[in-house]
Order: sequence, then C-alpha cells, then structure tokens
Amino acid sequence: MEQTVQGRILDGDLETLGLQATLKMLALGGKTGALNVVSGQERLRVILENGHIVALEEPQLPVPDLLEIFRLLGRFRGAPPADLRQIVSQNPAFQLEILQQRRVISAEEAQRYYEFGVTLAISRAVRWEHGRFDFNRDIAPSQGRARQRRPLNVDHILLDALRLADERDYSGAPAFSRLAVARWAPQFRGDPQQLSLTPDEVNVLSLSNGRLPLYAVSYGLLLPEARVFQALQRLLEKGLVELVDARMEAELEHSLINLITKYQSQLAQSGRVAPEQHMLELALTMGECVNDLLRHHRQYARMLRGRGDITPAEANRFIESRFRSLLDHVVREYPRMDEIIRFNGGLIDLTDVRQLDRVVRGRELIECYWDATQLFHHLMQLVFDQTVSDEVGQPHSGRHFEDLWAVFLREIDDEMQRLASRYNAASGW
Amino acid sequence: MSPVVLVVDDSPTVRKIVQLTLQRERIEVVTASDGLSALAAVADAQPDLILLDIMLPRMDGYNICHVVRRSMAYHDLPIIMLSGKDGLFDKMRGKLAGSTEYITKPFDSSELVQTVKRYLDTPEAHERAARRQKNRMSRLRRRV
Repeated sequence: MEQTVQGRILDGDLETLGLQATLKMLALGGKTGALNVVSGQERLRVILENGHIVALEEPQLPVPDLLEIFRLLGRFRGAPPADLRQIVSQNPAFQLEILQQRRVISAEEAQRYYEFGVTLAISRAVRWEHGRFDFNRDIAPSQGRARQRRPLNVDHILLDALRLADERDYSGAPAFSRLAVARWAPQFRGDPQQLSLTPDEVNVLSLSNGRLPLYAVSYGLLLPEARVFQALQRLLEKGLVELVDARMEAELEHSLINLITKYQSQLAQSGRVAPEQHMLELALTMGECVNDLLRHHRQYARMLRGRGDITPAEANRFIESRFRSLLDHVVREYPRMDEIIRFNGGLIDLTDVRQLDRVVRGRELIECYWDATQLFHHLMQLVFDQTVSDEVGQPHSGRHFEDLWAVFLREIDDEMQRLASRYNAASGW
Repeated sequence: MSPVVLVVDDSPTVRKIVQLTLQRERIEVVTASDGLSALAAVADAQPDLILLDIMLPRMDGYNICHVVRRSMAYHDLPIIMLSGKDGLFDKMRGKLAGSTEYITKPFDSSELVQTVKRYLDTPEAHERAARRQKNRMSRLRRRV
C-alpha cells in the first residue's frame, strides 16, 4: 500500500468492523479515498469519491479478457481487429472504455459490466471474517475512476453483493474454484446439439476454451458465479467439459512429491528393525502421511479458499467435520482401534498407537499393530481421494500425481506383504 | 534438445517422483531399478547425468560409480548419489567411488532440480548432448 501514513484516516481489523459496515460508514460520511482490504491472500481496493464507488481493483486477479470472451460468444465476424486486440492487451484496466470508444459495446453495456464486476468482487469480500483494512484519503491519479462510468451507490452495490453471496453459499451450487479453467473434454465424441442444453450451459460451454478462469466466465456472461457453477456441473455430468485448476494442481503435485519422498524414505529405513517394531513404524509412517495430507488440505480446501484469512481453530473444525466420517467408517472395520485412533486438533492423534505396548503385550500387541497398519493403509487412500476430489476435482488428461500416488501405495502394499511373511516366518503367526 | 538423466533406484516411487519432477523441467528421464540394468542404460541412453541410489540389487551404487568412471566415454559424467544414508562415512565413500555430488533422501524437489540443472548447464554437458544427437542420427541412418 503506497499511500502515506498521514493520508490514512481509518484502519482496523475485519473482526471488529466488517467490510459491509466500513463501506456504509464511508458512504454516509461522503468520503473520498481508497479503502484497502487484506484477508489472507485475498486483496481488494475500493476507490470512493464523495461516498460513491468509482473504481475497484483486485490486484491478485488478472482483468478478464472481454475481447476474447466476445470473440468466443460470436460477437465479431471472424477475429477482432488486430489493432484493437493490441490496445486492449496493453491497457486491460481500461478495456471497457476502449471497447466503448470503438463501439464494440454501448455505454449502458459498459456500465453494466463495470457494476457487475464491482458487485462480484464485493460479494466475495463481504464474507471475509478476518483480516485488516485501512482507508486512505490520498489517491494516486491512476487510481481515479474512468470518467465515462457513473459512480456506484454503496447501498445498492452492497444489497446486490449480499444477494450474490447468499446465492453462492445457499443455492446448493457446487463450490468450484473461481480460478479453475474449463475446457472441452478431449474424449467427447457426441453432438452437443443433441443434448438439449440450456442457454446458460451453451454460453458456459462456448467460453470453456481452457484459458478463461471461471470468474472471467461469470463476468463475461454477466451471470452470477453460482449459476455458472451450476451450468458447469451439468456440462461435467454430460462429459462435455473437464475442469482444470492449474495453480491448485501444481501446489498439490508439489506437496505430494515432497510428502511421498519423505515417507518413502522413512519406509526404506524402517525395514532394518525387528518385525514388531517394523510394523509399528510402518503404521506410524502411514499415520503421519495422512496427517501431512490433512495439513495440506487445511491450506487448500475448496471451502476455505476465497474466505480470506481463517483461524487455525476454524480450519481444524473444518478438517474434522470433513474427515471424521471417513475415519469412523474405517475404524468400524478394525474395532480394536476404536478410541485409539482418533482426531485431535484437526489431525490424527498417534499417541495411543505409539503407547500400545504399555497396554497390551505379545501376540495381541502384534495384532493391534497389524490392525493399525491396515487401518492407516485404508485411510490413506480415502483421505487422498477426498483431498484430490475437493481441491482439484475429477481426474483429467495430462494429470500425473494420481499415478505417483498409486506407485507409492503399491510399494507400501509390497512392504506390508513382506512384513507379514517376515513375521509369519519368525513366529508362525 | 532435452538433456537426458538416468535415475537408478530400486524404489518405483523414487523413480516416479524424480521422473515427474525432472520432466516438468523438460528433462528427459530414463530409469533403471538395479545395478546391471543401470550399466546397460548408460550405454544405451548415453545420459548427461546419473542420479544413483547406493543400496541396489545386483550391484551397489559405489560399484556402478567405479565402473562408469573407468570408462573412457563416461569418465567425466556427473554422478549424483541419492541416498538415505547421510553419515560422513557414506559421503566419503561416495566421493572416493567418484561421485560428483551427494543428495540425502528425503530430498526437496526444488533442491533436486537446482542441483541437476547446475550440472546440466555446463559446456561439457552441451557437448555430450550434441555427441548423443549425432550418434542417434547415425544410428537412425544405419537403420534406414
């Protein structure tokens, strides 16, 4: 935030004063300046003039490419003029003004896009519960509004933004990442015209070019995100498109590579001890691997993204609510592990597994270790499936980390079989 | 022309991890799961670098390193030992066997990429890649 400290006339945290209240207060006071809001990785800057919104920036999101959207929707005969493409690509922040000047869109349409863009951004930000804001009365000239646009009334925008937020949260629409990109499924061989698609579905399908993120699709069609997500869900069910979130997939792949490297290495070391100890170490290795998957998910779960900064306690509650039923289901298959393997603070508590030798001995201890090993083996796959499905959705062409995970699980299977035969040979189990 | 790295490890998981990590960097990867097939892969794929585990079936990493270093064609080939053993003795033994570098498992994927790239971006590596391309072309011509 490059404004001077002298220019800052208000700052605070969102827990004390939410965005909605802050905006209303600034509007009532007829203030002029820039309101900066930061929550986790999310950022927003709202420029106000005499208590009205005149511009809004989301520094972390590229401006949707309207020219490409119009081309895909067939608004140009052929490709858009090259000079227009060049001017727009050099000045993405002023594309509405340029498109209006070149008579690609009318003044009313440009105003509608502008208003919808602002409403969409605020509809996400009104749900941020943690973070900081400041209001600065110094505004750099570049932050001033585009003069052609009418200033927006804060009450009106807030009302619409809350409606969009409610629609997104309570309509039952799938919670896709707005940064995900939809593309035509390469394996689809049918005729889309035979599928009786709705106008929304046709429009979303037209924009599924593998490059436009979903927030840009929503903006380009002036369609609330919830409706875009619903249309997309139906297109996915019909096998017409696949959804790719390249950034999330790269994050997940990176985490998985490091996690699997770590646990493969532990696995290789654990074979050099007595069979009982080996069994315990194998169980603990898998348990810790599950915990690392949960730690990753706490950062990247779809439900937690876009909500800005959230407290560790909230993240723990979320993880436990998502995975408790999976754990309960697996524990039912291994009743000896009931109350021994459980959640604590958003992770699987491994303390009691480590201390099993204080409670049971001999053959029973081995059987408990073996149950723990099998339970974690089962749980690892379930947690992995749920994590992947939640973070990046269904498998699609060109994704490799599922193969890597399968290879890792096969290596664990082999290790378990070797361990069982080693123990059988030693004890006649 | 992509550089070629030979990954020798008896763990299919490690082979897959390294493959995935290096392929993202546009590095071609060939793999071998034991000592003897590693030596065959060196002759066949003419790699620009070898990532070599120590504990391997049929011939261990130290011996592979000795054999490769004795060959005229590969005496200067970078060999990075990749091992779970991180004691000074193991590192020294690797050095004496002729390894260029030593990475301890578990490694960080970005550390692996950095180290590999450091040895691939040298005049010797470029020369080797050009030689390999020439050999491939002449083999192809002979076949045609």
